[in-house]
Amino acid sequence: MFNNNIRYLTRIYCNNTIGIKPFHLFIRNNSSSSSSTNIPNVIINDALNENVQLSLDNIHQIKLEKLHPALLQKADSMKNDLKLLELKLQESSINFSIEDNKNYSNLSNFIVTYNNFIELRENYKELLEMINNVDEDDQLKHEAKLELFSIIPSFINSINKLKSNLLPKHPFYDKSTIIELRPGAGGHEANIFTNDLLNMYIKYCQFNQWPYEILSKTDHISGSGIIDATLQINYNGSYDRLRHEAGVHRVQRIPTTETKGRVHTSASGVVVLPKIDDNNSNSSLIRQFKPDELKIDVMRASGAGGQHVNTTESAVRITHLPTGIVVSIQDERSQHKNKDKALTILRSRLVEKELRERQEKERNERTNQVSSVDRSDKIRTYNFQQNRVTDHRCNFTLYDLDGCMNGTKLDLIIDQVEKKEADNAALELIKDIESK
Amino acid sequence: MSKSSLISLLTKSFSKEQAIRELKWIKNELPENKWLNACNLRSNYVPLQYILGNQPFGKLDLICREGVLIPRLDTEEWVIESSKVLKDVKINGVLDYCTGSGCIGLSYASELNQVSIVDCVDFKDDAIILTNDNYKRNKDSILCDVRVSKGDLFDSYIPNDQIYNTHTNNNLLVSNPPYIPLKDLHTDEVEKSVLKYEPREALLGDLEFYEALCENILLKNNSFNGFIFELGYNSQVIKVRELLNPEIWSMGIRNDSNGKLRNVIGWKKQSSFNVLQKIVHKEIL
Ligand SMILES: C[S@@+](CC[C@H](N)C(=O)[O-])C[C@H]1O[C@@H](n2cnc3c(N)ncnc32)[C@H](O)[C@@H]1O
Repeated sequence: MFNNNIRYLTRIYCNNTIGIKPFHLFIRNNSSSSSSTNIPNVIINDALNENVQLSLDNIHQIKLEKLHPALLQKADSMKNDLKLLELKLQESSINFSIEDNKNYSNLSNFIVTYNNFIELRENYKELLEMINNVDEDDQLKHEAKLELFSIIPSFINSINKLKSNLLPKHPFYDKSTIIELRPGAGGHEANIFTNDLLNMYIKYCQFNQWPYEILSKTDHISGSGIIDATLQINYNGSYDRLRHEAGVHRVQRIPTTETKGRVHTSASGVVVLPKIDDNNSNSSLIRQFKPDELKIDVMRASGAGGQHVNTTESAVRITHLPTGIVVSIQDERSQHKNKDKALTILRSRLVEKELRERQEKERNERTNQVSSVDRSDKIRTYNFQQNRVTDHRCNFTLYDLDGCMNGTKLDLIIDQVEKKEADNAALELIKDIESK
Repeated sequence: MSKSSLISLLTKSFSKEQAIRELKWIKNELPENKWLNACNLRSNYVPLQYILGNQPFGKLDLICREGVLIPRLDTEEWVIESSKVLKDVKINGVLDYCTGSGCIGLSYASELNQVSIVDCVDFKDDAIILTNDNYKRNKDSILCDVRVSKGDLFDSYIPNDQIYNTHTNNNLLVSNPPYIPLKDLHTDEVEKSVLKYEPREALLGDLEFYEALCENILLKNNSFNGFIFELGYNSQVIKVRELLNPEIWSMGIRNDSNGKLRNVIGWKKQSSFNVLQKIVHKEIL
């Protein structure tokens, strides 16, 4: 299971530590030496989605996100639901169904988050009042600012956590992942960039200590760059993070082969699939295929076959006839291992396709159509000259290209995309609640 | 040594796709100081499996050495396919005649747990040694007893045991004997690399082998209730059909996934080997 706590904690970064580590604040009021030099360097994301450096001077002016009343209303009604369940449990535990039990534990978890939010919000309000009160003495104001400094990051955390708790989870949030990479426009440079992206995801896995496996990879004949690659990440919950990587990634840089020093633009397509046939999941849930659903081709030379030839061609191509999806794998020397891999990928592609179609249908059914995401839209630009990575979905730019490519700062971008998604979902939810 | 010069060695003899694929496997499996030599050998059509020294086959990782035929993907295919339908059949002995690397017999021994013993027989010392080595290497995957013995099909050799001469036993004969007739051996039908580097006695053969399998083994030992032979020609199917009584035996042919005739398969009517019908494409009368 993905740990929400950790995920949101990583949103607060400490500038003076090496690498990105969740920053825990242990600032206590120590009145003797409360000069600003003792204040750690903390950068937060304010309500306008801007990076703001916290300081004692600006601390009381920081704009924090206000949760919409409709969302808070939903939280309150959930609190009420929990009370009702508690009453029911007190009356008789026999009437308590499995369903009740599940709800009970979900709601209990939620309430911990909600109460934490309420507590921090009260705290925050009190401190602000103190600071803004003209009659208050300066020493006290200073103390209040120090304390505010220590709670703001946790408060932002709790806002985000509460918001994501109120929103529906992605149906495959707990799955592991398959990533497929393919060069797009841009010639050989696109092959090279696709390999760079593959390395980025591998390093990202290493950074997160997620086990991974290269299911397939075809090198470009020149020896640099790749024609395609499939990466499998065997970590449950990785999909909920990595699904935000799906789409077209664009690179702008001067290729090493370019003699005139011109900047080229090329692109890579990234497809992210949930992996559903995990070993630990119930095998009855694994999709089985009817014999007439699949066409399985092995690549063989023409001619007699058998003892006459000794082919090394072990490629397998599986066509799913009802959908026309084709998966080819040729990496293993063993043909049936290629076949197993191809089936795994096929299952993931089918699940993803079904989900996408369902979501599209739901979107069309809604009158208030939200902008739909086209898979051919470019989602991100990597500009090497300017040392920046810009994500176009959330208008966020990271000025640390190396950090992104070596996997250590990719989280900074995904956080922003995730937040944007949560914001949109919250808007939807509010509309739903208000229209009831 | 840069990659492009290794790859250009391979593209001299093979298509671009094949060259890329094989270079990747060479790099995956051999230490860097052997890459250049490996590519040189390969560009001279030495089989990749002899260069790398192995070939995956079903669950097994088989050693490959010059002097013994390299297991084929077409063979792996029918062995795996038939294992699936034979899973629940109680079998006393599986006799793999002309075992070569041991690929067929050892693979059954790794797939079927209702078998008491698998016998691997070949007339060539290299094959006996290699099969033994392959057995040792894959011991962890083997589910039943395995015996490797030397014998000649034309001497009607059979492992000296009760298994095959007990009438009530339920035994299976499998074989991939040499089946390329002399008239075809030096035509384009046979790959250059095969002819130059693989043993001739593992390739050259025709009707006499199917005749011997039927007359010397199947019909002499009443305990065989099923058989699967690999072959490459319709005349070989006809030979088998001629020799077996259709009152007793049901027979069919199986094509490989490339659509080429690959097996003749038979089972005694009413025997538990009738499950083999599931992998037959056409019954023959
Ligand atoms: C085509 S190879 C098959 C090897 C292995 N079963 C496979 O499928 O890869 C034929 C084998 O039959 C053996 N052989 C040829 N003549 C034989 C004979 N008269 N008696 C026993 N084995 C023989 C050869 O040594 C060779 O190993």
